Amino acid sequence: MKQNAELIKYFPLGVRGFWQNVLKEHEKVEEIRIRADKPMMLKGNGKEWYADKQGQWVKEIKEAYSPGFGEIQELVDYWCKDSRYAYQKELKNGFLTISGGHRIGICGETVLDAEGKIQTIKNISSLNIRFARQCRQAGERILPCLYEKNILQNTLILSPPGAGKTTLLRDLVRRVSDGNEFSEGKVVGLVDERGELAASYQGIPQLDIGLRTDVMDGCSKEEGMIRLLRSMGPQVIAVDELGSMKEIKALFKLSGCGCSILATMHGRSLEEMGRKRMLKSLWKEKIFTRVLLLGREEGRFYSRIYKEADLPDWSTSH
Amino acid sequence: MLDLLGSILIIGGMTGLGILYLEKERQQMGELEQFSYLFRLLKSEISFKKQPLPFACRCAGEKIKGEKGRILKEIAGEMDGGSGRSFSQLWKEKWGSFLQTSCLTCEEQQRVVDFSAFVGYEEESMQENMMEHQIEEFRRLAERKREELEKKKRVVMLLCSCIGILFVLILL
Repeated sequence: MKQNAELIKYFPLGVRGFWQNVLKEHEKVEEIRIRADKPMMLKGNGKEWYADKQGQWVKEIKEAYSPGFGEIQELVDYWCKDSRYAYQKELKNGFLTISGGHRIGICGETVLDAEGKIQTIKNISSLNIRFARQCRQAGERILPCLYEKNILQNTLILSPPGAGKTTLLRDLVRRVSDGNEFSEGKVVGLVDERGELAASYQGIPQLDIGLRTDVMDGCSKEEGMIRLLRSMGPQVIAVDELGSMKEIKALFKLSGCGCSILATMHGRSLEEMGRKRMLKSLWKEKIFTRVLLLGREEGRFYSRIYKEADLPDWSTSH
Repeated sequence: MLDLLGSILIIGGMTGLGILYLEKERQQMGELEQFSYLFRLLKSEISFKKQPLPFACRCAGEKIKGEKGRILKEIAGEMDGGSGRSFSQLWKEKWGSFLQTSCLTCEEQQRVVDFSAFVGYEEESMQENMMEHQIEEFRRLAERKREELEKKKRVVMLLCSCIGILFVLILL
C-alpha cells in the first residue's frame, strides 16, 4: 500500500482517483500503454487488460476508457515539471525517466533539424509507462553461475523487452558491489544512460545499487564506460542495453583492461544473436564467457545460462 | 501664537500626506524592480543551468530574501514533493494571496500572476525569449514609474503645501 501511495505521486492531483484504482494492484502492473483516443491498456501477469473510466481493470474492450490528447499532454507536463525545455534531450531520445527510475516511453510528431536528425518530439500521442522495481532476490540463483575460481566472468544478459534484464542487472550490481559468498565487494562502475538502473535523482541513486558502485548518469554508454575506466578505477563495469557499434568498440577497450563486464542486450534467442553482424567480433574475441538468456513463456519467467563451452562458434557464420 | 502653531501643523500635515503618497509610489516602483530581478534570476537558472522550474525557483528563492524568496521555495517544494499540482496552479495561488496585500496596481498584479502562462515551452530558446519578454515588461513598468515619480515629486509637494496654506487662509 505504501508503494502504491508512492506511485500515485507521479500523477497530477486531478486524476489521482483514477490512477489509485489502476495501481491498486501495483505489483501486478508491468506496463501501461496510453494512446490518444484509444483504449488504455495494462499489462499484468503477462496478460493484457483495459482500464475503465474509474481505473478498474477490465477484460472487455467496450468498457475500456480512451484518454484524450489533452490528458496525455497533462501527464507529460507533470512529469516534465512544466519544463519541457529542460527535458529536450530525453524527449529527443523518446523517453522520460522520472524520480524513482520509472521510465516513460513517448511517441508523437518528430521535429527535425537541418540535417534531418530528431530535435524533439511534439504532439505526444503515445505513452508507455514502466515502473522500476527493486527485486532483491533477482540475482540470487544466478550469481553462483557467474563466478569461476572466485572471479566474476564477463556476462551478457539477453532478453526481449519486459523480461527483467534491467532488474536482474541492478541486483547483480548490488551483490557484486556489496560482496557475496564468492568474492569480496568490488568497485563497480555503472553507466546509467537512461537513469533506470540507479534511478538517480539530482545525481543521487534512489535504488540500492551497492556500497561500492559509482554511477555515471545520463551520458552515452560508450563515453561513460571509458570515463569510468579512466577516472574511477572500477573492477567491474556494468552497462544496460548495448546496441550500437560504438558501444561494442568501447567494450573491446574495457575487456583488455582487467575489468569484468556485466552487460545486457535486447535479444530473443542465442541464434538471433549469432546472426547479428555487429556482434560477430564479440563472439570471435570471446569477450563474454557467460551468456544469460531471459524470457517469458505463458506469463512465467525463465532463465538459461550458457558458459563459454556451451556457446556456439558464430564468428564465422553469416 | 496658537494661530501660528496651528498653521504650521496644517501645512506640515498636508506636506506629510504628500510624502506618504510619494512613498507609496516609490514602494510600488521598488516592487516592480524586485519582480524584474526575480524573473531575471529565474531566467538565468533556466538559460545557464538548463534546470526545470522547481529547481530554478529554489535557487532564485535562496537568493531573494523575504516573502518573495519564501514563496519561490514553497512552489519548488510542492512541485518536487509530488503535490500533484502544476506550476501554473501553484504560481497563481501563492502569488495571488501575496499580491492582495502588495502596493501594485491590479494590472501589475495580473502581470505577475500571468507569468505562469509564459512557461512550459518545448524549445529552450523560446522559453528564454518569453522570460526575457517578461523581464523587459517589468523593467519597463518600473522605469515608467520612476519617470512618473520624478515628475510627480515636485507637483505633489507643491500642491500639498498650497492646499495646506489655503486651509490656513480659510481658517484664519
